Amino acid sequence: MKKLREIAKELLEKKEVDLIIGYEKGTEDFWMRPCFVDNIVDIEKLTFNAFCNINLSKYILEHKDKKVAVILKGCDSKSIVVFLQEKQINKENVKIIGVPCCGIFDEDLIDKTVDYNSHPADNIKFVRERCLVCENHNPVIYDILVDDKIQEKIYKENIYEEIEKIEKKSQKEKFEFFKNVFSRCIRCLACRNICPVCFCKECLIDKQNPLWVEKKITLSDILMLHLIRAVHMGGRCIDCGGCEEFCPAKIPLRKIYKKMEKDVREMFGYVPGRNIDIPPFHSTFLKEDKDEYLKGEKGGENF
Amino acid sequence: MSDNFEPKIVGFFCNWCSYAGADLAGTSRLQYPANIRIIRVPCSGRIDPLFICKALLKGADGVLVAGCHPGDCHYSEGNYHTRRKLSVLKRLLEYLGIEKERFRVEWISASEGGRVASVVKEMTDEIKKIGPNKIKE
Repeated sequence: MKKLREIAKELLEKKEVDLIIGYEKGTEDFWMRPCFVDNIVDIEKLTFNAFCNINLSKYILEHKDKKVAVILKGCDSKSIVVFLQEKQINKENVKIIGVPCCGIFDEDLIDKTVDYNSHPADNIKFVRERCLVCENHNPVIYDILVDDKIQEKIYKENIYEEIEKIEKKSQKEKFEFFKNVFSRCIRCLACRNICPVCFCKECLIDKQNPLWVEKKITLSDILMLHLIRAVHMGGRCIDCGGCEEFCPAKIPLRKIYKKMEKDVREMFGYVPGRNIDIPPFHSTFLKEDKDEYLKGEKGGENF
Repeated sequence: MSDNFEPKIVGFFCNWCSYAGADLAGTSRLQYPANIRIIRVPCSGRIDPLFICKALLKGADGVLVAGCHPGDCHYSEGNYHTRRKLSVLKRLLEYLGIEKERFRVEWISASEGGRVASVVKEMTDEIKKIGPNKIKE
């Protein structure tokens, strides 16, 4: 990681940025935590390896008054595209240090044989599920690249395989599956707090007037909370995997948000987080949008 | 499933086309089931997908959304936005295991009083067959 530290040092010395947001080693070898560097001495803490799972882009929103540099992998850089589409940041104050990434290890899947500095592409069985369907190993937007770009290769043949498995179930089986899964939710809202595109100052889930989500622990209130998140994520979720990874009850949230991504892609040809120049999905329409999805004619039984 | 099950259907009707259509059904003395409770909104574009979710989770057995035909919206573009938002919602609700008969979107104009009656009757019959909403608690 010498090159990363050289780039960081140069940015701080030339005063192009006031703060660098990166990763540093945590209390264990497989825990990497965010690190905020504003002087040359602390640059030695910055590092990057296959355990850097957190998406750092959300921290930019807390430092809008400063010039910031942030270290982003391929998947994380897509959240910057969403920020720029929705006019949340000023690009002149943000420098993106892009890191081409071929996978991140999952803390729950590794065993004693793992080599902490090994290449994820050689150890696919330890790589987290989200990385197996990654379509952007290289950052889609960056100012400086730490390494050469790597070849784009999707590890799984069908990126929507898990979603299609659920779609094929009968209506009763689907309901039972989601009822079991959501009954574990403790409403900690970690999924909302880690999500980069969830940045409303006043969230509907907390709002008292009108009251959308009540205080009971019944299925209807828990489902309302998750439906609010799902409806607001439609066409905006960039699949960084944070919600599922940090859920204390291990709820498979990506199965819902990936389904929204699949639908928006199939029905309207829109993929979030790729292109700054096109407007966000919900703010436009086409007169040629089809009615058949609305009437349920397309797709038949298995949606 | 008792034979006395009367579903509660919530209807969101846009003021300029569908609500006028429902008025026409009334003045023409066309009979349609009283299971529907109609809520008047200025335009179908006013409808947040979360209204439909909240209605279904609070115990409604079905939700019907009716708006102007595409191209005829009183506010020019409202129903195009509705089409986008609610297409995605329809697929999501069915993925979660809610039966597809419970949520329906129709384009009804102000002169289609007969259609209001037939759509409400059809929806009530279908929901009577599949039974009450299991989510309400």
